[in-house]
Amino acid sequence: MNILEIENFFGNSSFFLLFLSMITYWIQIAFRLKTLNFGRFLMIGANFCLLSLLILRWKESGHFPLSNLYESLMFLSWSLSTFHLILENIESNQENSFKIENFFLFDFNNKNQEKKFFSSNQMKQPFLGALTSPTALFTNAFATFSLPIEMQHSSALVPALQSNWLMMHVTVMILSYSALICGSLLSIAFLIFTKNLNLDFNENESSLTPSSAENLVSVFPNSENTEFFASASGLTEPMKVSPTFFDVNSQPNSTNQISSEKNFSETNLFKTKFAETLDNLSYRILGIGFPFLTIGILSGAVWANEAWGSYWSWDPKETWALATWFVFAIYLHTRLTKGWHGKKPALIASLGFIVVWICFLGVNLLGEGLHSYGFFK
Amino acid sequence: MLTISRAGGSSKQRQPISVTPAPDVSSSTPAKQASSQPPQQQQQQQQQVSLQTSTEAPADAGAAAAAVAQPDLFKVVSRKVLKELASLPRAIGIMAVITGLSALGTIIPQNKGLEYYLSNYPTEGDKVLGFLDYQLLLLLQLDHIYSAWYFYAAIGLLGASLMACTYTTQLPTAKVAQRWRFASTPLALRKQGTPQVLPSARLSDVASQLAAKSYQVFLQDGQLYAFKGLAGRLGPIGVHIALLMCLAGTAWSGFGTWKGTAMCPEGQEFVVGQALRPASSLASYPAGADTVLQVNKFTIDTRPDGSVAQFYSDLTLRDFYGKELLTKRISVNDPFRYNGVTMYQTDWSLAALTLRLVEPGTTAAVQSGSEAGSTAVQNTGQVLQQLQSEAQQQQQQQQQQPAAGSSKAGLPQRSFNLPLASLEGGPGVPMGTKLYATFLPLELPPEDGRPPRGISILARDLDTVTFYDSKGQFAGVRRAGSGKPIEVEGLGIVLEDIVGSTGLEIKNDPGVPLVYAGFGALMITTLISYVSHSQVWALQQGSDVVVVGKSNRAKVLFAKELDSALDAVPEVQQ
Repeated sequence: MNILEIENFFGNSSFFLLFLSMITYWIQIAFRLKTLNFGRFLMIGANFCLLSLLILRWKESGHFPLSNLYESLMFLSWSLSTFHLILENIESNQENSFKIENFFLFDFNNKNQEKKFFSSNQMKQPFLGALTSPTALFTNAFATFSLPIEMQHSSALVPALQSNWLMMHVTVMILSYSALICGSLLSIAFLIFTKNLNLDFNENESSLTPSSAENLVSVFPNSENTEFFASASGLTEPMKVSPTFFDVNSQPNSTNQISSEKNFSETNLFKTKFAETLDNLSYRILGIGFPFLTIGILSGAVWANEAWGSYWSWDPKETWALATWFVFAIYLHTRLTKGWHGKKPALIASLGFIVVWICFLGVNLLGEGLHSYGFFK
Repeated sequence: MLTISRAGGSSKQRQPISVTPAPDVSSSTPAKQASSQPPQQQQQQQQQVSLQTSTEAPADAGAAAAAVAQPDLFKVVSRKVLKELASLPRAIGIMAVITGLSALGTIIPQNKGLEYYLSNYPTEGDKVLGFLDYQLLLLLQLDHIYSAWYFYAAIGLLGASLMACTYTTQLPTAKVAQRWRFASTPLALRKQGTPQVLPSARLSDVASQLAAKSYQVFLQDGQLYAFKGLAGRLGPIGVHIALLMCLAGTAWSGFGTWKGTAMCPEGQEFVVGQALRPASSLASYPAGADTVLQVNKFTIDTRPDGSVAQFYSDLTLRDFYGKELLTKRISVNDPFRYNGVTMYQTDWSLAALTLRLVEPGTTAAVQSGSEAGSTAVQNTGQVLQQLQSEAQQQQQQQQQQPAAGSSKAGLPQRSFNLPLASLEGGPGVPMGTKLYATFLPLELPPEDGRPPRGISILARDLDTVTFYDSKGQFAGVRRAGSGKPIEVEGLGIVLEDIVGSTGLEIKNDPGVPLVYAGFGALMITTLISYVSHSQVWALQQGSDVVVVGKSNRAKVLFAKELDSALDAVPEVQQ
């Protein structure tokens, strides 16, 4: 087997593993299976294959394997799966929920399955996986099947790319893309998930409270969730507590009253809780993607100034990176300063999802400007 | 006194506080009211809030009162302007406009020249999108969006907004974050969120639990304030200041830059300052520009597959007295810096071919004899001499022609240069293609105006050239410096050298240090801003402890953390 065949093998394996992983996660969601953890292992396998592929290419070409579209797509696929694994790991560490012994425990008959499913934070795992695996699969498939073969070959670096900045700039940019894609996907998922959920929003809850001297931070009533669900599961009394920002239940005197006892469903409550977690998770992931994007853009600007003496030249890629930066800057401002949460910021993040893809793929496909790989032709 | 750990089922014991009648309503009513109000009113309310925020600064409070008492027009106006500028919806609007315009600039090709727009955005027939023709496009300056006045205006507004926001909101936040600590009444506590009550608990236990979670805890007269991740609160302030530094640096670059390009053949030199033009009258002339740059050598390293590995220029900088200041071999990504002037390797071209004529059939090692030779050789030699002497006459015969001595045989002993011209953009040569050509005449230009007979030579790179005879037939390829002659039209030609030109971007940008400082600060502060700023307030109310907490980023995690801290607070039995 020569090195090309090994590369092919890893490329194909990563594709199939991601595909299987996606199927697993989707089945898990569709049938509310809590304990099917195949997806995670498949994802680890795909991650390993992609990493091997990239390292092989690095060894073969002698330069950092991010010199063409194929390599950067594969790197994006890898960093998406890495991101997924890190997030999943954080979740399972928190919850201590990942246990090998209930790996094959299928509990189809349990009536509480649905409730348990959504009440568990482990729900985030299949949900996250159901989003990240198809995205990683898409980039992988696009790189493998849509790009012409000659574009897949490792090419020698043009003079403009021969710099140590390549490693820093491109790595950080793609990491930020994957974080932003993950986060905005979660926002889209949030929108889909809450579409049919009987939620009532209190989006500006705190920012307009005149007495809030800071006018900065949204109030998150800290532990009433516990309270909320403790009483909800007992159903001993109607909800007295102001829930978080989603008023699933009604408050007795509130203006937006829903007749709570009637419409109230227990599952809905857990779904609400889940939606809230989804919302905050998306916020946190976008929150880390934004500084990465900033660092990536700025390191690119410094590099450009070193290479041809201009730190900003309104090249299409630069422009769209700036547009992405602005979209997520707006997102963070509505969150941090206006205290929005829920659907409105999720809509902005969904717009950001489109903009990130234009920035990453669209501009490259246009093939114009400095970032069509190389300044000298 | 007995203490019982309440970990576990304790959450059921905790109840929402009932301090005021209908507490839940009072916590959410302002928001509800606001959200049911029409947007205008909402905005008003917001402005009230922002006004309040700005009067948080102690110095402003008095001034605001004075302004109301005796309306100082300037102060009122400036306050209004400041408030308008600092308004977040406005800032978001400006950001959205800049984003939209930037995106538009990637859709409409920029700076293409009138002809491009004439043909791609015609006034007659199918207009782009049904309305966009070149007249409208040029009127709206859509051919150069990034340098249109409205784009600059939008960026200027964003800068002003940033400044106003930093001044009225961000900096006061820093003060508030340090000063604003204890909540002395349950009502004050309520403002931070929905409090919860720990019955039969001690404040000191809450304090120690929070301290164990690495909070900074302050206790005073039955009041508790704890925080962690203050950096996360101060980070955004740093982000705004860093952004202002970047904008200021960019503006400084925009006004203070001297820059230009130079295309200089190998062996030639030029005065650096002559290549530079100031960006505005505010730009000060860089000291390092009063120098002479000599291009010693330009080389292109190619890989076996023919692709370019790197471009190199050997440069020597001298002062006006000929003293050498700096010699460096530059390449892409490795510029030449001297005293504020930076020179980047950005382009190249071919300047000339150095040729020598030999007798056909001889090897290059043998200098051609001066006696015999075909008529073609003699003719060409005469033509060349004629041309050469004409050129020298034009130069007012400053120098004696060295080759004149051996003119008898009609064959120049010395090698000579033929200038190359770029064919880029010509028929069959697309823009961006490097293709150069020259012409070696075999006769003097005929009287009737038809082009003279001659040899065409094409060159693409510094390695090889291609020869074509007078009928345009391919004659052969020769490598520079190989010494192997080629026979074309009865002439033996040796290609001695291909003279390249290096294209340099030369620049003195005084804004770069400030911009870089802004970049560095921005990288650090955006990362710091990711830290979650969490605050906890608590009050001892008899035997109960009332607790409220909030966080600006990791809200779910914070809720869990606070829960587990409070769960661990032991129950005290009196």
